[in-house]
Amino acid sequence: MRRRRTAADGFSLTAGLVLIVFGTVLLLERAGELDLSFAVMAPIAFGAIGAILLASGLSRRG
Amino acid sequence: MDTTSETNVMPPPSPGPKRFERSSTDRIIGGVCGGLGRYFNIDPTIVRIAFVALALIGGVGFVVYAAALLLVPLDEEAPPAELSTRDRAIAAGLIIALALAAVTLGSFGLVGGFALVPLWVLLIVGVMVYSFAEGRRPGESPRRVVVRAVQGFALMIACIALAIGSFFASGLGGGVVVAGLVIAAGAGLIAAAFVGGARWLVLPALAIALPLAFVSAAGIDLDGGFGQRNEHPATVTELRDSYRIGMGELVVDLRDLELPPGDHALSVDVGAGRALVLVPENVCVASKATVGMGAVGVFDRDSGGIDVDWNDNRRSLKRAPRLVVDGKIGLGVLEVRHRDDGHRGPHWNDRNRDAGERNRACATSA
Repeated sequence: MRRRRTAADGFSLTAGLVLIVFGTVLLLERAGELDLSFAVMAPIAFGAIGAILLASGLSRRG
Repeated sequence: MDTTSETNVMPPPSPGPKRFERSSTDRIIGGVCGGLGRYFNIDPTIVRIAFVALALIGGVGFVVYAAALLLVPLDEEAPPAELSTRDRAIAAGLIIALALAAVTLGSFGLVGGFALVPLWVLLIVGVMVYSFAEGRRPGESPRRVVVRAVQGFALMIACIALAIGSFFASGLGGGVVVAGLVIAAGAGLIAAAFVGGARWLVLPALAIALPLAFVSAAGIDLDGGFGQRNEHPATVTELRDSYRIGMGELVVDLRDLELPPGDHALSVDVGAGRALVLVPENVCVASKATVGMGAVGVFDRDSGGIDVDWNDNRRSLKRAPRLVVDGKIGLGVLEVRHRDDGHRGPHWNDRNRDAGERNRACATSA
């Protein structure tokens, strides 16, 4: 009997990837490998929020 | 069997106590006002006006209506339960806590009049938070909307608490751990995506990530203590070359010092707050500073905003001592003045100009 596969939740996947990238940038900054001012950090943070909102808007749940 | 004779013998059933039930026929939202009007035998419109008035006076009417909507049954046959016992308990507890908080704060005079009017705004925010966290609308029935709004609001409060904790943890040197938690939350979301998802995890993850990003961008270092610190060296030997505070106000008062001619370095470091350096009028001040978010004001000159990079290099007049101030402020203000007029907050530069504050001991050209 063939097992039915459940589709992955697109929003959770996208948000998870965004958080991992964002968290890695923050980790490198705190570890002293990067030195980010507001001019750089603000676009990164708003980009992350925007990507999550976009994924939320595009995802559909029953 | 003669049922007629039995009916004649049995006493008429007792009407029982009068019950307060929401009206299913006279309702605009949940039938609370209609039910109250029927219970007290008054026009429901009067009850509705009273509820609106109570809602405008501290939002009490809104809390009472929400509680009645949740706890008072409809007058028709009860439909199948649409909320779990746990949901009802959480919502009831939060509503009672909210009401108690309003009453307690009101008794201390902290919340009065219209301060709680935006309760309906909070509930709308709660619905939005719930909708985002769950990825679906809270439902059509008023009771369900109220319960979900309260849950969403509670989630928002929890996220605010997390954000505050993240800010202090990051500022006190725990940024690496916080960043690790953000990455772990992201990994958890990806793993959960294959077993139905865990959308709610996004909000707490952002609640800890964004304050960390702010602390990192501003360069906030809260190490060094909290509160008010006044440094007042009386002699040159007591003058240290570095002063710092984590959060609060740092005042370095050098007005009683007789600084000899030559350069004297002074480093001032404030994580979040205000640094005020008071200098004698015969001292020339050269200054440089970095401010993540805030402002620098040296006598009649100032600069503010984000990523402020201040450099005001001055030469002293002949035989005048020169103080070389090196400021590092994460979030806040660095001021250098001759007099402390006791004023705090913005527009200090205007007052400095009015008070004739100048860097007079310096040569005219920088």
